[in-house]
Amino acid sequence: MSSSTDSPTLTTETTQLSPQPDTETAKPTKKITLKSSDNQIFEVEESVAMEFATVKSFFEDSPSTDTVPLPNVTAKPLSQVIEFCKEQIKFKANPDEAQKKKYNAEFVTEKSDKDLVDMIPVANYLEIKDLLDVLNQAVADRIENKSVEYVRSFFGIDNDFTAEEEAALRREHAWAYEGVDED
Amino acid sequence: MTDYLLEVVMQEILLRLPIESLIKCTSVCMSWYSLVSSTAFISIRSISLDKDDPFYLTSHLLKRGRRTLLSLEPVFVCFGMQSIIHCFVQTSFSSEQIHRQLLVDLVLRGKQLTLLVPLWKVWCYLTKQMQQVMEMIQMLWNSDTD
Repeated sequence: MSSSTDSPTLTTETTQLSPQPDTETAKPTKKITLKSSDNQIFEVEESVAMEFATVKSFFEDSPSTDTVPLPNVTAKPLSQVIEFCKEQIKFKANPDEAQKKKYNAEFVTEKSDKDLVDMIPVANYLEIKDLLDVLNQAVADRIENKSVEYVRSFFGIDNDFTAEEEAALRREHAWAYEGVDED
Repeated sequence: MTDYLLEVVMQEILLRLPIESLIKCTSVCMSWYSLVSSTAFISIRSISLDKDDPFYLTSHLLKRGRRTLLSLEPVFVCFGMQSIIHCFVQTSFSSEQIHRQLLVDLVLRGKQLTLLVPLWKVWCYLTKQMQQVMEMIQMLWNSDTD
């Protein structure tokens, strides 16, 4: 019991996550280069890149490529997604459900609302199911029982109902609008 | 403004909300309204926005029964013994200290009691309460048909 209280290791390796210059340094394990839509270069270990189903199938289709362009993905969410996948690889090698759960919980807790919302399309595009599950649940937890206005601003959604339409909806299901959690 | 999330992703998020929150979400914007009121969504989540639909009634009952086990009586009155019984159970994820609603559809067909579990990981949370509900239903079912 006591041995499992250490927080997940997020220490030295995170430095590798920052965008690196386009120069290759020799490393023992095979690296794969990912290029974000804002032209940032990420070098990740092959095992990490293969967690991204989209990248994996890209390599299966064109094995000779050295750089995978990710036109729909910007650098910041991509770096966070890579961070997550690196940890998941460790849990794959060394299964520890309790630690994994703890890591996943901490991973989302420390993220801002915007970070979470920005990561979701990335996880979806790269087809990282575990991460998508974690993110979807985290977002659901954050909007649960919140006011309509809060949910709109959370996702940056414009209200396209007329005032009358919205009032009618609220009247119709008034019981569901009684009492919301504080923002 | 962030881009709207893909509908398919948004659906995944909305499916994780309790019914009360879900109904609030229908007035966020038109596309969410269409999403939640779509047939596909309703069949997954077993709710209805149509007041004439029995599913609407049960979602309303759920709200009134917050954090308590609902009396099955109104549901029996509503559907009769021969038809589908929806039983809403509130339980808590004690480990995460998050209260969450579990929706369990209990379907009685013939004498067969089938537990239909929606997409959630309900099995893990099959609590003592739940067992009591099942026993109660079995008891009522048996007394009705004997």
